[in-house]
Amino acid sequence: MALHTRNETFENGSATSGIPVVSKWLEDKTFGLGLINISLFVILNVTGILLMFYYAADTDRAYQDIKDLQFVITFGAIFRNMHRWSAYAMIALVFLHMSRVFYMAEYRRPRQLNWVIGWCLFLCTLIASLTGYLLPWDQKAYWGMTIMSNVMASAPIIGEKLKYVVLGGNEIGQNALSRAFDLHVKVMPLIMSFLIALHVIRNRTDDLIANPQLHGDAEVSVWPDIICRELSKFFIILIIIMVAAILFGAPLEEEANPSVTPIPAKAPWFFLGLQELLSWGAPFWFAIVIPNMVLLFAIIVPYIERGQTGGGVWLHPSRRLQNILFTAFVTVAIGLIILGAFFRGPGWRFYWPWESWPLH
Amino acid sequence: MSADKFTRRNFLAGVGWLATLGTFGGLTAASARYLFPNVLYEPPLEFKIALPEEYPEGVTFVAAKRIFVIREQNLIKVVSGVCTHIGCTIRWSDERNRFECPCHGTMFSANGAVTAGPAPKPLPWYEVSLAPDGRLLVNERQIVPFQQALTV
Amino acid sequence: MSFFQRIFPILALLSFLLLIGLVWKDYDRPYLEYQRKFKALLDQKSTGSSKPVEFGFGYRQRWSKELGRVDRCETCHLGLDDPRFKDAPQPFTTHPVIAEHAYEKFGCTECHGGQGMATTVEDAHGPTENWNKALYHDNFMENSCSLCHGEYLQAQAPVLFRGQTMFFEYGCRGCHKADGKARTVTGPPLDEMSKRVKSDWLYRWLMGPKDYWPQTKMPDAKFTSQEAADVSAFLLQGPGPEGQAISGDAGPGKTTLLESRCTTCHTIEGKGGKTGPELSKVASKAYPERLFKVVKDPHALWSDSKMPIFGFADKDINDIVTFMSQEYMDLDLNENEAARQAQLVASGSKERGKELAVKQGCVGCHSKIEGVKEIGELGPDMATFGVVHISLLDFGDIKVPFKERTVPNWIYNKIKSPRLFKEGLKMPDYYFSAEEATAITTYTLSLKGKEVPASYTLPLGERPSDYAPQGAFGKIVDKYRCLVCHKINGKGGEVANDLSQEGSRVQEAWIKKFMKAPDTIRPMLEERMPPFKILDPENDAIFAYCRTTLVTDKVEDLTGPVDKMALGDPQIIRDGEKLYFEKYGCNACHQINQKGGLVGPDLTETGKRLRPEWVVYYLHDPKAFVKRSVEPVYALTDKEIQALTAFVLSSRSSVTH
Repeated sequence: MALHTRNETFENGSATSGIPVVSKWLEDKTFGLGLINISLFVILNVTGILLMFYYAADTDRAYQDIKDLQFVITFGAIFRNMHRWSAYAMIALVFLHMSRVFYMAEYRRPRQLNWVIGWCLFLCTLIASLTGYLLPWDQKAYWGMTIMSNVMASAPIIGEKLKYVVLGGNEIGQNALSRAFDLHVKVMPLIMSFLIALHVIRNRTDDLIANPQLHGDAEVSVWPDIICRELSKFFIILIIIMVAAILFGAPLEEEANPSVTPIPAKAPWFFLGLQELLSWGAPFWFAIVIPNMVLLFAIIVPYIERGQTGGGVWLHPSRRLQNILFTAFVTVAIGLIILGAFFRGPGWRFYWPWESWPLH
Repeated sequence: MSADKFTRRNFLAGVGWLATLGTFGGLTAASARYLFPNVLYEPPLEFKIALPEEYPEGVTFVAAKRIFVIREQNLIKVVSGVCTHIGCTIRWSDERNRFECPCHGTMFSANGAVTAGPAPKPLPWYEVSLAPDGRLLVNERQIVPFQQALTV
Repeated sequence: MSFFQRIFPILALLSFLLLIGLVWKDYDRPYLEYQRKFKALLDQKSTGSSKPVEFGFGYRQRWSKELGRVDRCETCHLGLDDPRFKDAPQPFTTHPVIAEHAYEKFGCTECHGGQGMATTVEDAHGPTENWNKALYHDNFMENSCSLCHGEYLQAQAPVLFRGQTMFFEYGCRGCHKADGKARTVTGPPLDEMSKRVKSDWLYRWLMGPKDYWPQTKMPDAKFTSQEAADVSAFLLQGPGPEGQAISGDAGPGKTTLLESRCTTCHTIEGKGGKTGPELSKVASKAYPERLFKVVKDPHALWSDSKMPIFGFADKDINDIVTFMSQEYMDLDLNENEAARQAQLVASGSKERGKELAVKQGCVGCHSKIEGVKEIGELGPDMATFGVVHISLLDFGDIKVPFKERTVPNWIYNKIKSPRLFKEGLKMPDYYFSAEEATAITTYTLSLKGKEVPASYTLPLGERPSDYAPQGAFGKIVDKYRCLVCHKINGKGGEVANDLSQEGSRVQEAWIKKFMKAPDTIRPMLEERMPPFKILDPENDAIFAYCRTTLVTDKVEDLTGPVDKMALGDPQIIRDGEKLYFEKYGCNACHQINQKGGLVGPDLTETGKRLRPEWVVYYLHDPKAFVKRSVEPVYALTDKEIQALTAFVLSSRSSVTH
């Protein structure tokens, strides 16, 4: 979607030729990640709307509605699977999109605001996923929400009140489900649509600000051709999601049971990193302070970066420090998730992935 | 040569657009089929009501099921209490010996025929039989003529 | 043209193909295969009928709002209410007749378990990753009965009832709490053991109770040799037997013992009743002084003992005990071995023994253990064990395939082999058979702590009677323990007949004579009423109570009509005789003058035994009082009843057959 022209940098308007790049092939590839994310967003909304016809956010009914979708509703399982895999894909791909932008330093002036909007969108994606996770009302949903709400409660000063308003009470019950449903189905899509629109429009604006000759140099593209190209990319995503929906069923655990905590109780994968962090010490430091510090730092990167060279291409050598730091951050983030997913067993004790857990 | 290429390119593009139409059309059709439920969480159309002895002579309204149970000595009949116009619940008037619909003024005779008002069809009479435990079994799937009655 | 433009047609086509794939994946649902098969069978069975077979493909569902269940079993189980499919293979087999349990109202999973919402075989039958409550095996299915029908089911749910009885009789309740159920103390008190039993015997008993008494309810705690010695040492603290030495005549003792019909309750060399312990080796167990006390007044030693007070004279008891001491020895016992065992016990550690007694939960069944508080329950609470979550059950070191990791499997295996799962488990081994373990598992599964909506409950079965006779009669019943064998007003045992209407039934002279010297009424029975030394005032009190209280108006009201029947008329008696032998063939089951069948009671003495009103009443309807009566219910006319009664009550000298 980014009509990102080649051979342009932000280095005071001069061309890239002559400046060493890491890889000719990689150079300024975006991999269409932005477009991919929008495609996924569209798929999520459409399948989400369809799922809502058969789902009621009632603790007595929710689990059964999911079972109905799986067993007796025509295409129910397919749409649910598509919805779930699109959601997972979107989290991963939004993260990759953000990484791509960082590695190409496309957060520099005039794109700082867009960088911030992008991070907001990432957070919105996470919130949408988290609220969506609660809706099937199964064990993972219930206990995942228990962990999350207690993490929230450990925030200083506002913690308990925050938990109270998020859950609509002291327990995870009907109120929590209704609120999650509202957020997931209306508030997040609304906010995200708005932010996406803003993000895309700003992107165009920033392109023009950065390179006023853009209009002149732009390739002449005929509308059907443009749509063809974009549709192609959309189809790639659609194909992948459909294949996933056919081959892999979206997971569902046992119905939520407040008296039995699964051993171990693991958060959904995208929060496993946070849960792993949590296991190292007090929630206040490891789940509130550290992640928020990291977040804050990430968001203000455009405003605090001192060097202004090497933008517009992947992994420019002049940005070695930033690239290394960022790579470290990404490695740690993914590493924490992998650790939490494969190396933790009952009691959150360390197990090698091939070690069997005591099943009790 | 360029003319050939043009045609083949056109053809391929045409194929592409056709397939696109097919995909989205198919997904829309799938979504439409999806919206028709295969199972219903509704009470069954065949159900039991009380023992015949508990229904007095004349017309008794069974509110829970929106039907009227009519008893003439030892004959029992069951008629729908839903107006055939657009679905309001009708009432029975003893003084005027007819069913009346409060919504648009349709009147049905004691046999269910429309005597006045906008309703297009007479009231359906449902098959009633005796269940093994002696209670009346109403089958709303089976419409019967108004003369048909169960002898108890 | 860009790369993406070039591949656009390919991608579009691929998407379209995948769309077809989506549709195919969804449309070809497994249940349709079953429905097609069923339709083929249905067509086969309907060939020849004029109407075309109606069969709609699609899901079938039973939704019960009150029970909160959705059951889709009938989607594949299509022949449930079609009798033509009785011999069809599953899933099409007809459901056994369930009359009042119509699945229209109840669905399927309330009784059968499984996942009703599912429409594939693996998911519906379970267990799956997200649904562990699999279908109950047939063996365990009765556990659901008590949900609606309450806890007093008997014949209606025999496996459940047996499990329930065993749960209390075998002392499970002693260790495992089950809300609202009274604790039962199954075994005898353990006070003063040193005065009662020999130390080497106690050692052998603790090492393996079933070796001494195969029908014992005491489980095997699987003590090691040292542990058994320690526990014995702990229990045997105190002085030895007291009292005078026993010396009597073994000969008369044997006679008295045989006449007293001890084998009605006790086994001797395995033969006898199930109520009391094995006696053939009792001399190697108990001291003679103790035996004396037990025979004289068992209630003083154990207030819940089922043994009656016979009322023997001391001399008779001496003789009996002398006989038992001489004859009822353990002949297999090696003297050296016994001495070695006694030595082991003598050097056993009392402190360790006490620890073990506490750890093994002896107080679950025994009371009065010195120094051990009778505190509750050592095992897990059973109140809602039927619906325990599978993740809370430890299969230990046993590798169990996923499909068998279910709650019923765990419970069954635990009951059958309590220490199977891993080392260090405490529950003792009862050596239950498969049926016994199944019954107890069924009962345990029924403990769900759940309630169904009131409109679904229908209590069945009889509440246990709280009949407790008072006054003089009450004391007599207590002394002779009548209710161990007999039932009165719903309370008591089923070894002997129900006495609730005995007053209307028997004649005074006969019953008084019988109580002093019970003889045979039914030839086929093995158990015989022991002759208690009933005192005359006691006999009178018993009869008075029977005649005033244990009566039924249905019989009493017949006195008038019976008086009018000419039961002494010879012609009527002859008519009766004809009916007895020729028309109804009563002699096929009953004996007169030692001729006839052995199924029913001997009718030779009926004239002296039964009251005429009773005979008339009984012939009207044999099952009116004794529901299990084998006697056929003939629709006898009043004249026939009169004739038969006259014949049955007549003197035997005139019988010609």
